[in-house]
Amino acid sequence: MDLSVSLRIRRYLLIGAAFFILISLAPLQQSINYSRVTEDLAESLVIRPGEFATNFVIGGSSAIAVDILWLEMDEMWHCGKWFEMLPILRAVTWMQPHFVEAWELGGWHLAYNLHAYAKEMPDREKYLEEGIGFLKEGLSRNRSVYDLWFNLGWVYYNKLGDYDTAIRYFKSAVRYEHPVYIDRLLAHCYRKKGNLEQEISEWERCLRLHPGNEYHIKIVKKHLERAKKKLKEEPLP
Amino acid sequence: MKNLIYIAGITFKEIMRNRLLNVLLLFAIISIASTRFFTIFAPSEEMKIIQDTALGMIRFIGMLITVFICGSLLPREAERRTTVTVLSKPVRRTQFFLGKFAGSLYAIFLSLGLMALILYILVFFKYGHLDTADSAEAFFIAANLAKALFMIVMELVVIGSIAIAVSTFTSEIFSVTFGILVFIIGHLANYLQHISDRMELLPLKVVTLLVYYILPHLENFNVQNAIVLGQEVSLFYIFKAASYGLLYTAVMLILGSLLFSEKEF
Repeated sequence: MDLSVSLRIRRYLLIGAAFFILISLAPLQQSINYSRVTEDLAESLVIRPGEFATNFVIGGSSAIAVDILWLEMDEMWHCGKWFEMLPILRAVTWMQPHFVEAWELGGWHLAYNLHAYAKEMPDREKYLEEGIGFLKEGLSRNRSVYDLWFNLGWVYYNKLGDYDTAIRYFKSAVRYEHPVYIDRLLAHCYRKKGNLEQEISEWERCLRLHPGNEYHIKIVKKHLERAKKKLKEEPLP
Repeated sequence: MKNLIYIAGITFKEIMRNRLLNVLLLFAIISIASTRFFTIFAPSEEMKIIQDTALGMIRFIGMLITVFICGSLLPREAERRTTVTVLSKPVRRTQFFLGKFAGSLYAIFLSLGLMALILYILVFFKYGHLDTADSAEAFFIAANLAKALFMIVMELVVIGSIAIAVSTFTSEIFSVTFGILVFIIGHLANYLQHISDRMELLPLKVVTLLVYYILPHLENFNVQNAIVLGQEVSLFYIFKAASYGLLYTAVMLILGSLLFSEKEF
């Protein structure tokens, strides 16, 4: 066979091989995407070009930068510069989206401190909404720890009196390693809702949990007795 | 094969004499070693800061070293006319191209090895004097770090293969810039799928998906956050990501060697 023809055939074969490998990468990528979700390796779906740009520019020094900003924010907090803290908080969460404490602090600062501090009514609502939004954004990055599920539940429970939503978040929080009071908070949600039957069932569940914790058992028993007494006084329809 | 190994050896020696590589490496080593001092800002999270900063630094400096080496090798050789001299001998163009890439990889692996060594020394100093319970934790951290470092190696191999393939038909500056852009775009490639999900126009959706699958998914190799947070990354995942990296590299090397075969000197 002519040398140039054999070279041409070899070239086409190589192009074909490259094309075949490129096509085979598509199902492999799908499988990797699936594994990243199941192994909790995937970042959230929120588009974050700003976050990426920041991390790209500062290279590997994000942890150091976050520490310095965190100290700066602490200083601002003590000087009463409450509004100036917000951009720094945002920068911290951009650089370190898995720094749960920053999301918690930001959500609480917006929904509680600034909400109380704002004098005009429309402003107040804005800060509360922003606080919830901030916590939700943090939650999208940190779903496998109880902290932000609990914080969101608490805002709905304590600030908005939306007990159904609070129950939803507290139930998600207790799926992960969590402090014992969140189990009790679930029962309190049903108490506040006036759902006596569900409340008793929750207190009974709490009683079975953490048997070695005397303080917890004492509180749960007290509430369970109260709820049962109430049930006797006001039987369910 | 003999020719390929010989070219790789010469390339490695040549790269190790490169002043830019040495400066970058020195900077990386000093930066990684100094992370120990920054832990004073958060004494309870020393290990997290050491791992996060050091891995970030290794990835970033590693990327710069890779694109500067792989993107500049062939254009420089062409400029100095050494390619013509070598190719006038019984050396095939594919051997020359692959030899250059293999030599670059030696140098990149050596640089990463040095950076990783500093990181492991820091981990050893943190845990070296502690009891057995902590040794178990230290072993877990060391094994997890090895996984993260292996993923960084795979990422750099992919970036290097793209940079060297592009350098066969462009200038040094262009291929280095292109390599850096690939690093940025490769980490953002996953968003294209979400964008295509939201597209209503079918042809546009198809084109976006096509671009999504053609671009290198460098985020596949990013397990840094999981490692820093102490999550377990399965060996099966590492295997899949490494397979992706090797296949993508194979495609780039085939295309690069074809382009290099066609090039006129």
